[in-house]
Amino acid sequence: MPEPRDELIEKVAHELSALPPVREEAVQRILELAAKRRAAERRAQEPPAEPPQDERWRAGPRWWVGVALAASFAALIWVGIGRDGRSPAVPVDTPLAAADGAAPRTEAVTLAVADRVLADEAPRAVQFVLDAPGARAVAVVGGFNGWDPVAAPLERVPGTSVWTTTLLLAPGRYTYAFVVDDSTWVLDPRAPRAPDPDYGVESSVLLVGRE
Amino acid sequence: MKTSPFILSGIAVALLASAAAAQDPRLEAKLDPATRREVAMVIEQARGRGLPVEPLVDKALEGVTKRAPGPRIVSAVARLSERLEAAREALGPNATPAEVRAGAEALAAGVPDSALRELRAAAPGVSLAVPLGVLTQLVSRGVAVDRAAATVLDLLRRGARPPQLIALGEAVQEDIAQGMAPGTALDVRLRGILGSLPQTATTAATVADTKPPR
Repeated sequence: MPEPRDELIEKVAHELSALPPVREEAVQRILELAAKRRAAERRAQEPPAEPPQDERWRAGPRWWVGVALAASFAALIWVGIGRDGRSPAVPVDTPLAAADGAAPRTEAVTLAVADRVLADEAPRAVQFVLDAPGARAVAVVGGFNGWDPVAAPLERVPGTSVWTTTLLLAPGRYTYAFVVDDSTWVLDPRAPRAPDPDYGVESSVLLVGRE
Repeated sequence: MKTSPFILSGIAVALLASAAAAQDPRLEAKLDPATRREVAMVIEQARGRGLPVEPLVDKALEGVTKRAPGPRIVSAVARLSERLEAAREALGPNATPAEVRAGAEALAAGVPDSALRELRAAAPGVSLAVPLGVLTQLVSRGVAVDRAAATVLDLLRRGARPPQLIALGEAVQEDIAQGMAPGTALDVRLRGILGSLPQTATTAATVADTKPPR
C-alpha cells in the first residue's frame, strides 16, 4: 500500500528537481581564486615572519577564514541558482553573454580579470651571469631578495671564470648588482644603469616579463 | 564604571603584540636601534594605511647593503612610503602590491600621477607592473616623460602585452647605448612594434608625427 503523500516533502522535491547541476569545476575555480587572492593579500599585509611554531599557529585560523569566505561565496551562488532556476554567476567556462539574453555576468568578468592579472604577475626564470676572473664568491643582490648578499649566490661554471644563477622573479622592473668576494659592488656590464637618488650608489636595471 | 583588570591586561598584551609585529627580524639584525625604531614607525603607519610594506623593508635593507647612514635610510623609507600612497591613490584601491610598487618607482622617476590614472583607466583588467616598469625605464634613459607616457598608454590601448612592451624598452635602451637620441630611439622602435598591433586613431597620429620631413 503506498504511503500517504506529504505535501511539504513533495514541494521540496519539486524545488530540488528544478535546480541545474552544480558545475564542480567552476566551484573549484572560485575556491582557488579566492584562496590565491587571500594569499596575496596576506603576503602584502602580514607582519614580518616569526618563529615557525608561531607561524603555524597564525597560519591555521587565517587559512580557515579564507576557506570559510570561499565556501560562503559558493553557498551564495548555490542560493542564487535555486532562486531563479538558472545558474547566474558560476559558469566561468561559458560565454559572458548569457544564451537566454540575461544581463552580462559581472561575477564571471571579475574572475576572468583576476585570472589575467594573476597570469600577468606570474614569476619568470631570469638568469644572471657575471664573468669575474679571480673571484672567490659572487652573489646577486636586489629588490627581489631584500639586497641580501647571502640570499642568491652564483655558481662558477667549472673550468671558467663565469658565474651564474637563475632566479624566479615576478614581472616588473628591478634594480640589482653583484657583490664579489663579499665586499666589492659590481654592476652588470650587460645591463643599463639606474641612478640612485636615495643612497647615491648606482645599480643595474632589469625588466622581467618576457614569456 | 569599573574596568576589568582582564580587559586592561588584554589591551596591554594586544599593544605589545602590535609593537612586536612592527619589528621585522631582517631589520632588527641589520639596523642600529635608533634607525630601526624610526623605520619601524614608518612601516607601521604604512601598514595602517593598507599600503604594501615589503618595498619599505627592501628600501631600508638596500640602504644597509649600500652602507648608507641611519638618517638617510629613514628619510629614503619615509619618501618611498609617501610615493606608495600616491601611487595607490592613482592606481585605485584594487591595485596589486606589485603595481603599487611599480607606480611608486614611476613617480620617483618623474612620471606624473595623472599618467598612472590614465594607464589604469586604459587597462583596468591587466597588471600594470610591467607597463609602469617600462615607462620608468624609458624616462630614466632620457625619453621625455610626456612622450614616454603617451606611448605606453597607446600601446596598452592597442592591447600590447608585457613581452612586447619589454621588447620595446630593451630595444630603446640598446639604441640609446649605441648613441641614438632617446626620442629618436623610441620613434624608431615604436614603428617596429606598431605593425603587430591593431591601429587606433591616437597611434596613427603618433606614427604620422614621427615621419621624417620630406
